[in-house]
Amino acid sequence: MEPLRIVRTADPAGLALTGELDAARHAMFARALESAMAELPPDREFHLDLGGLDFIDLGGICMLGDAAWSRVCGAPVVLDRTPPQVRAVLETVGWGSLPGLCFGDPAT
Amino acid sequence: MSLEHRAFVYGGTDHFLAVTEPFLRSGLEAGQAVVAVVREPNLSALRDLFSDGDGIEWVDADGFYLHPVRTLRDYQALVNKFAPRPVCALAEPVWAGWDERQTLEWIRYESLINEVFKDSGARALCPYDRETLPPRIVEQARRTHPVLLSDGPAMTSGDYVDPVTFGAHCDRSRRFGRPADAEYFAVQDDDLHALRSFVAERALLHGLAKRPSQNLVTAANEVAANALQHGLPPVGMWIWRDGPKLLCEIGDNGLWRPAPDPLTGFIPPDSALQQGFGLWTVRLLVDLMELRAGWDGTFVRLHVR
Repeated sequence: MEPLRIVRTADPAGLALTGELDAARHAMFARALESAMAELPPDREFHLDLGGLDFIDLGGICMLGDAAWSRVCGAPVVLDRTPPQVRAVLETVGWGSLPGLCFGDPAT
Repeated sequence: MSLEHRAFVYGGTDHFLAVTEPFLRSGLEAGQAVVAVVREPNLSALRDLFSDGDGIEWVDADGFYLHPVRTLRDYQALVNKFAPRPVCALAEPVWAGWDERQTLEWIRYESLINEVFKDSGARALCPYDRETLPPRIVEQARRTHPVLLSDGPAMTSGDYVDPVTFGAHCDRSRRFGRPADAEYFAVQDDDLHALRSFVAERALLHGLAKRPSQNLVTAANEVAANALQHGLPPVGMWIWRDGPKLLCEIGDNGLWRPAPDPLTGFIPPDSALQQGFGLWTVRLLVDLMELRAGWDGTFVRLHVR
């Protein structure tokens, strides 16, 4: 399978994901997410560049929701360049169940 | 706060208006968030009796009742949007254009309303047109609504059945045969990339549009990941065509404990972080999800077209 690659981004601050995120990579993603978010002040937006993401499973979506919820009093978690598959799932689930998540730059 | 869920069996537009107009006005007077989801031409006829400033949300039922679980999600979103104001909803489901199986799911949907919104404080009046609907549909309304309204005062329905019992009854009528030429895919390890490619390819061959195809891949991946995590090997998937439908079934040898009940996956979670999010979302992603947990294992069947 295509491995998941996670790269730190500085401007905007956050992570860029490439490849496929499924249950086999949850732990890897959780570690990267936790350490990157811990370094960012809560009043700064946290960006996830999903432009290179070919697949995300529902567990991965939950982790995005979880990350946004942990910053619910601070700046939002912004999803940039969200691919259609990810957008389809997020819209199906409904934004009401994912408070604090929003779309940034459109898909390329 | 409890739920008021009434079926209103009517004949003709005058009868419809004579009951639904006062219902909506009573909601406005009580300061409730009033929503009217009605089919044309009744929608326009009713709307003409109100002015734009009344603050009623008017929705054409034909665009609202497309998929029972998504409709539950949409009503849940309305309840959340207006909270803490309770919702007063005139809710007329669409019964035309469904096959036998889909009709069963819409009847189940009416029953599920009693469970999903039991603590919402909402009021729902569900009109049933006795002049055009098949008698069977009107009969089922007596089983899915605790209170009935027709020509006289509201009455408790003696035929009402609770949603768990009702759902179990719906499930007994299902058939779980699988054609001999269904393709089998063995899930060997926890890398589900190959399974996703296999499903995507079959969806393409079947001619599914991009979105339902991607949603099926996401749903099948979720069910297979659950089987790997909670079930027992062998884990496998069958896929086959049935006319315009593509069916995909994932099975494992494990016994689901605690056993799923007829409500499993039908109750919307409050957020993505709650237990039950996965199966609920699978139900939203595909046209129909069927669950069978038996002595021989656990099987989840996904239908798309």
